[in-house]
Amino acid sequence: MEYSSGTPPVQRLIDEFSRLPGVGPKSAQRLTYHLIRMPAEQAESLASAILSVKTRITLCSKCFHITENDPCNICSDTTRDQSKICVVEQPLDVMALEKTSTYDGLYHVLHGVISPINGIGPDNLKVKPLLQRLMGNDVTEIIMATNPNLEGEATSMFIHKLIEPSGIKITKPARGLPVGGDLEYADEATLSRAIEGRQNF
Amino acid sequence: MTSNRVYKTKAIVLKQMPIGETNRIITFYTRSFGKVAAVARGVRRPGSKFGGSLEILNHVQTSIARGRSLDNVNECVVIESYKNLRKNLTAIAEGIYIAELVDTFGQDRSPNFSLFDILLETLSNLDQSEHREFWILWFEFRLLHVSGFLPEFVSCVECHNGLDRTDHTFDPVVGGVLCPECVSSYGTDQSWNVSVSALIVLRFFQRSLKLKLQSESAGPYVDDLADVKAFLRIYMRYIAERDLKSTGFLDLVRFKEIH
Repeated sequence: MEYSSGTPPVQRLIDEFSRLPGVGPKSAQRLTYHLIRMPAEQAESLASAILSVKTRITLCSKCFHITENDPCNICSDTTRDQSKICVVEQPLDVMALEKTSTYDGLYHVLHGVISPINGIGPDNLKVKPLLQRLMGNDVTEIIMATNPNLEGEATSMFIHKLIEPSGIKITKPARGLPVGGDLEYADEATLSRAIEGRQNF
Repeated sequence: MTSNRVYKTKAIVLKQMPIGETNRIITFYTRSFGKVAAVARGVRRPGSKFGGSLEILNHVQTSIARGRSLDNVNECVVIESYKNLRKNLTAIAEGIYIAELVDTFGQDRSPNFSLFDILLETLSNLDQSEHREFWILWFEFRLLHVSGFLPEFVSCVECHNGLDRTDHTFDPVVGGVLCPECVSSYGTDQSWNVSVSALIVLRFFQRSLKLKLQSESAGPYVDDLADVKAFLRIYMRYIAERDLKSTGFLDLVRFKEIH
């Protein structure tokens, strides 16, 4: 939207907030009036944080995770296991997995999922760079950590078909009961997968 | 529609769209109310009460509360999740394709029991995983029938004379196949050639409309479906007035299955 010099700054900020996902016109108004009451330093700090995200953050040329340095800290960390690549849908998935501190391999961010009904196919995702990454590399395991729903599974199956001929081991995270949940409330699909994937005690 | 605030119905999940932090808008094709979109709150959380019940292509029993703008999904229990279909990438792509067809042809809040029933029957045929391509075409044909778009294939649509066993001209504007004599008088620039092998399958479909086809019925036809597939693809595109989005992925995975 183009703004003329005469557009009131308050209305302009409300309009800008309204463009954000999950922010309706009323929330945009609330955020704007909160900002007006905010100390100037805090508002400046918010503005500079937004600007630095846009100017300094880029995608890692290897794994396509969001990063300030290219390659990213994970890809350039030589202490990590270079033979494992965990394939995820979004950068937020990398952050969630990193919080667990149990995975020490590399990542590959697809930036989406195959969604045929929305016209999103493999060419719209970072699938080709993943295949290029595997060529002439010493990767021995690919972990397909897409979301456990139909589109996530279809994406994993499609990539599995492409990688299978190379002989690289392909795994996926276990599906099953959430920690702290009650067995009786688990749905059939989750429970049946938990039973199928049971482990030795 | 009932006047109650909460309505219960059997439904098939056609598609999902993320909205807000943890919600999704679910598009159902319901038996009693036609196409319905409703918000499932918290469904993206691992501990959500919906669990995996709102997965695309699930046959479910659901209870939906009417909201001011969008309805809300209250409860959802899986009746059938078509586990075999979900293990095969091509079957998933085919399932999503028929879901898109129903999303395109199904009317909002307008029940079509026949459409719901053929959708259910096709999902279970795809789950059996034999002759899937044939079942998709049979679904497309019946979809045209129950939506009122079925053209004439047995006799000339204008003079009603029987047609020779050869290639003919199909014209979507006049609504069917034209005999060679009628083409020059009634044919429009929208027409195209339909091969005899496509017509054989289409006429078999037309004769079988009142029957419940079994796997054996598909046997004689499954090796020669390329022409009828191409015909129905063009005709579906003509009716929908756009390319269906899921055909690209469907063609890709079918190609990879062969090669």
